[in-house]
Amino acid sequence: MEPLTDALDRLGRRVADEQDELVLAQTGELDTVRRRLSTVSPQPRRRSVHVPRWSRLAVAALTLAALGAVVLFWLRRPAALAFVVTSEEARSSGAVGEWLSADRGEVLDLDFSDGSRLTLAERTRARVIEVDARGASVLVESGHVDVAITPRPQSSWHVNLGPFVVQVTGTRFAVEWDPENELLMLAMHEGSVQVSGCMFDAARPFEAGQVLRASCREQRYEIQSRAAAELPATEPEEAPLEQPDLADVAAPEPLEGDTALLRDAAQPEAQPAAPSAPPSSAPRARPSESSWQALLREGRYEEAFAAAAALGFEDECEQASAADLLALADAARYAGELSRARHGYSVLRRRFPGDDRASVAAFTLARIAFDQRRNYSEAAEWFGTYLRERPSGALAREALGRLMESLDRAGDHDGARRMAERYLQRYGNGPHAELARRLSQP
Amino acid sequence: MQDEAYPEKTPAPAGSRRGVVRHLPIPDNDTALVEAIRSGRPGASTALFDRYGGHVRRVLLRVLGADRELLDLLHEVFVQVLESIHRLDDPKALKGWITSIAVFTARGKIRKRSRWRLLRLVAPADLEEVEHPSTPAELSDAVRATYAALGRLAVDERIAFALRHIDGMELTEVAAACRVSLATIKRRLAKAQANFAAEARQFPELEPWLAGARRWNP
Repeated sequence: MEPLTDALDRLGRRVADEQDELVLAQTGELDTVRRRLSTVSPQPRRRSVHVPRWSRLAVAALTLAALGAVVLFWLRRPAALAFVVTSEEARSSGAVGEWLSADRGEVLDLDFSDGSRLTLAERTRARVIEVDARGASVLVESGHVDVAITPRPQSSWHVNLGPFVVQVTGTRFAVEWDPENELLMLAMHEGSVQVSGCMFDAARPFEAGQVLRASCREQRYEIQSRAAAELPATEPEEAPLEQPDLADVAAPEPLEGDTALLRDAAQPEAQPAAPSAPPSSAPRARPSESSWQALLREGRYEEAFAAAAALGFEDECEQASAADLLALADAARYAGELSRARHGYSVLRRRFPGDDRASVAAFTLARIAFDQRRNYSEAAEWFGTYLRERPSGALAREALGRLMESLDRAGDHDGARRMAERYLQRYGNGPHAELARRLSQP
Repeated sequence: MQDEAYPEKTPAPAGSRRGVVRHLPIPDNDTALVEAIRSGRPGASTALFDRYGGHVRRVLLRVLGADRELLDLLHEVFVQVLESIHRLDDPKALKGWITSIAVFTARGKIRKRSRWRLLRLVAPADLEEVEHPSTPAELSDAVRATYAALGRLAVDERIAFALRHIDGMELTEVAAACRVSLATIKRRLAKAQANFAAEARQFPELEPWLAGARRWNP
C-alpha cells in the first residue's frame, strides 16, 4: 500500500497535465493580457541619495515635526468618501483598487457617500483607483458607465478611459470606452466636464447636450450637439440600462480637428453586418456587443460565442480567419455548445487544411469525443489524425498517450499495446508512462 | 509575437538632425530586468510579462483551477508587481516575489468569493458552481472532483496543497510563496493532506487515485 503523499502526488500530476494541456490549446490568451499590460506604467525608480551622517539628526527632527503636522492634519481632515457596490443580488462595501465587472445582464451601481452614483452597464470593467474627501478617480477599462456626480464645492472626480481623462465637478453624463478600437464616446446630460488626453493636449470643456466621439487611433474626433432635453432619459435612480446611441443623434455639426468624417469608428471593420439589417434605419450595435472577435481577444468567450450565434454561428464560421475560427470554436466549447464547437473545428479543418490550427482542431475533436461523448473509437481516429499531421507537434506526447488510452477503451488491445510500446520508446517518463507500461505487457 | 526585449528604434522628429535612440536588449537576467523596469525603460514591462507571464498563469491555475477570471487575475498580479517593484530588495529573488504576489492575489480572490457566498446566502450544494463558474467541459472528472474537494479546505491549506502536490513545488518554495516558515508549511500541508483525503471520500471520481493509499484506508 503506497503512502498517501505519493497518491496525492500522482493525482496532482494528472491534474497538472490536464491543465497544461488545456493551456496549450488556448493560444493567444497571454497576448490579451500582454496588450492590456503595455498600458501600465511602472513606478518610477526612486534614486538613492547619500545623506551625510551629521544631518541625520536634523532629518529625524524634521521628520518628527512633519509627522506631528500630518497627525494634526489627519485629525482635522474630512473623511474620504466611502462607496458601496450593489448588484441585483448583493450589496457590499467597495474597495479601492478592486476590479469590478458587470456580467452579462447585470448592472453594478457604485453609490458614494456624497450621493454620487456610477452605474456600470453590463459587460463593463472598471475599478475605483483613488478616493478622498473631494471625490474619486475611476478607471474604466472597457464598457459603458453612467455618471451622476453630486455638485459640491471643490469636488474633484476623474474618469480615466485609456489615454483620456474626463474631469468632473458636478454633472451627469455617460461615457463609453472601447479599448479595441481606442474609441471614446461621451454624452453630456447636465453640467459640464473637461476632457484631456490623446488628441486633447489641453483640457477641452464639454457641456450639456454635446456628444463627443473620439478615436485615438485615428486622431480624430466628432462633436454633435442637440438640446439636452432630447437626450435619452437616464435617470440614475433607476440604474438605467438604456444607453445613448450615436445613431439617434441629430445631424452632426461640422467636424472639428479634421475635415474627414470619423469613419464609422464605432463599428470595427472586421465586424460583418447582419445580412437582414437595414443599413440606415437600424440602430448601430455597440462594438462590445457586436464584435465577437473583439470579445474573444478580451478572453470573454461566452459572450463572444453568444455574439457570433446571434449573427449566425455557421455563417461566421465560413467567413472567419483560421485564428478566429479556432478561437470561436473554443468559445463554443467553453460555453458548453459542443455540437457547435465540433462544427467549428470541422469547418476549420475543411477550410484550412495543412494549417497548424487544423491539427489543433483534430486534437480537440479527439478530446471532445473522449471526454464528453465517450466515443473512444472516434477519439482514436482524431488523435491518430493529429499524430499523422504533426508527428512532432506540441501536442504529440499527449496525443500518443491518449490514442493509446482510446484504443484500449475501444477494445483494440493490440493497437493499444503497439501505441504503448511506441509511447515508452519516445516518452519513457511521460504522464502516460505508467499506463503504457501496464498496456505493453502481454 | 513581437519580442520587445530586442532592439527597437525610436525615430527622431521630422526635420531633426539628432540621431535615433537605440535601446540595447534587456539582458536575460532578473537583476537587469528589474533595473530596466525601475528606470522606466520602454518594453521592460512586457519583457517581464514575457518572462514570467506563463509562470504566473500556471500558479494561478494550480491554486484556483480553471477559472473565468484567471486572465483578469493574471493582469492584476502584473499590475501589482509593476506598482511595487521598487519595494523588491533583492532583484535576484524576482521570481519568488512574483510567485508570492500571485499566490496572495489568488488567496484574496478565494476569500472574496467566500464573503460573497455568505452575502448571497447560497446553499452549500451550489458552492462549487460559484467557485468554478466556467470549468471547461473537457477537464476530466478527477480534476473537477479535485478542485471541488479543495474548495472545502481552508484557503491556506488549499494553496499549500495545490502548490505542493499539483504544481510540484519544493517545500521551501511553497513556504516562500506563502510567506511562512518551513515548519509552518509542513504543519499546514499535513493538515491539508488529511483534510483533502477526508473530503475526497465524498467524490467517487477520486477513489481510483486514492484507494491504494495508506491513510485513505483506515
